[in-house]
Amino acid sequence: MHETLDAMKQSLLDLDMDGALTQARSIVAGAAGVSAQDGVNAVAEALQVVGKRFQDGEWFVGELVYAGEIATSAMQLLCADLAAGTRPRLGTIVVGTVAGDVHDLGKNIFVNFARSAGFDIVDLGVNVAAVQFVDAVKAHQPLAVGLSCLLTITAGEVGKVLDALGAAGLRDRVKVIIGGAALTEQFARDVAADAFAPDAVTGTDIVKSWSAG
Amino acid sequence: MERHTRRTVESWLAEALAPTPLPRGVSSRDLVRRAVTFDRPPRLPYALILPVRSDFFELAALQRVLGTGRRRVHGAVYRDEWGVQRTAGPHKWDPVVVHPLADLTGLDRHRLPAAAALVHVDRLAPFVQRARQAGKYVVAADPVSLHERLESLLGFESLLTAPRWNAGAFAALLDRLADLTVEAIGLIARLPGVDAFMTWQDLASQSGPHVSRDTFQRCFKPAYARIAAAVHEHNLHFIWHICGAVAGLIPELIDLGVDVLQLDQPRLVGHDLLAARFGGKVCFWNTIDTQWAVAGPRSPADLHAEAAAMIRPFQRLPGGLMLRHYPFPEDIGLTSKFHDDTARVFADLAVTRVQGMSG
Repeated sequence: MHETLDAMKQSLLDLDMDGALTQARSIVAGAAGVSAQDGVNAVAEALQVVGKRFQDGEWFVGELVYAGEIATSAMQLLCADLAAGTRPRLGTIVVGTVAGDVHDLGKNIFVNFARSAGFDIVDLGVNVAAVQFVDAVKAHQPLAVGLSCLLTITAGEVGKVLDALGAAGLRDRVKVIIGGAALTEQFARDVAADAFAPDAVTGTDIVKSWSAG
Repeated sequence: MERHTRRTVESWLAEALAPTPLPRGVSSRDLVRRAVTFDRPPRLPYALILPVRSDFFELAALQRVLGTGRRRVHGAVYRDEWGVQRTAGPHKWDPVVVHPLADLTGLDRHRLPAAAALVHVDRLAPFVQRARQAGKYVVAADPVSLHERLESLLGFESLLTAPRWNAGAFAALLDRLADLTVEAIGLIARLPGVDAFMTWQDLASQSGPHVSRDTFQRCFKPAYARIAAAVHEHNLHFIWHICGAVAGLIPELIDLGVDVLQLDQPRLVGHDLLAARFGGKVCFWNTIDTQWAVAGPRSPADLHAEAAAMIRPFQRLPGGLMLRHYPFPEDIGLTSKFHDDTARVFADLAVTRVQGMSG
């Protein structure tokens, strides 16, 4: 790999925001002799390593959050330099934290990772009612809907969103992935979600597999 | 209104100060202290809230009954004494609307409350005295709870990342909060009869600690070490509440000198593992695992089996386990029946434990 790309990747893995952005700016300025697309690919590769470190228990949520923030900042620089339509897109994901729950960390980590992986994200925010998910699916025709839920007391809202999508005749047109501290694999089966994401990295990988399929 | 409040406090006190079943010549305080110091308590100490039947007298519970805060209309936005903007809601913690130090700018100008405004020594003293006379083990509450306070001041995301993007300011804030905690401990120690200082520090999620051990040791542990030293300097036990998958952090907490770990999710570590790896090194004060409790209807038989599984691994040890009701059942959807059933099971098994030991 090119020296600048190596340096950017290493900066991200060292959780060095300044270093990663310096390399990204160098790429965008044309000083590094590599394309912005090469830079995007390098960030994506670094995130794969981040994901593995997290899944192996080497890194924790603190490191995961910051790596996601560095990746997002680098991607903003690099993607601004890509001509419209030239950046490969994997599809759109509508995401939100369900009604009654105002926690956004898990959702935000997922958004950072999925966006960096090449997805377009429609982030509905927190405390999102089922009807808002339905409206967003109608408006954006996404590949997937991601539902986040931290609080046990609001877990029932996840089922309400799935019911609302079904009632609107949209359930067959969109995959639903759920995650958050209050949810489990068994819960995903109970509400007939398509997948449960134990963490943002796995969640991104699952949606990527849907995109490829 | 005032008379109603006084009657409510008195009726709560009547329950809270009532004796629990004890062997002759042993007080609740003796029982707890022997559990904490692995000195063969004659039964497992417990703290039940519905109705209140407890070997402990928890100042946090008393303060809730006394109603130290102003009543607010549901949905009203207000600023708390830490400068954190919140929305009044039905649960114990009102959600934060604005984290005033999210980007750590303005830290120098941000005012924290004085310790004396957080620990109401004169107001609490008569209650502590009554609790001690009733033979209870008195637990004072940390009015700062450093990690929780950092979270409300900074927001969770900034709390996790600030040590990397502004290590100096983050350390300065941590120091100020630790100073305040140490000062509060000094005031609490003026209350004759307090046995323990309890803090709430949720440093882990359902899958593991929030930060690596290295980050914990580098960024957080020095502040906690100062707090632990202050607690022990005043001859208090150090009780630490923590939720989540905490196995990786427990060695650090033991190293800090924590005497009691209060876990609401013991299953995330595993009952057997808790006893096998950490039994004898720190005392546990566990609830029935809250995630397990809310995951489905639990019959009395289910509960009995779960409590027995929690207690059994500790029976080979000369102490180190205490039992507890989750104190905010309505916040997580636990029914009063669940707590009734748990109370019966705990009372039953706490005594069975005596028979097990004597046999």
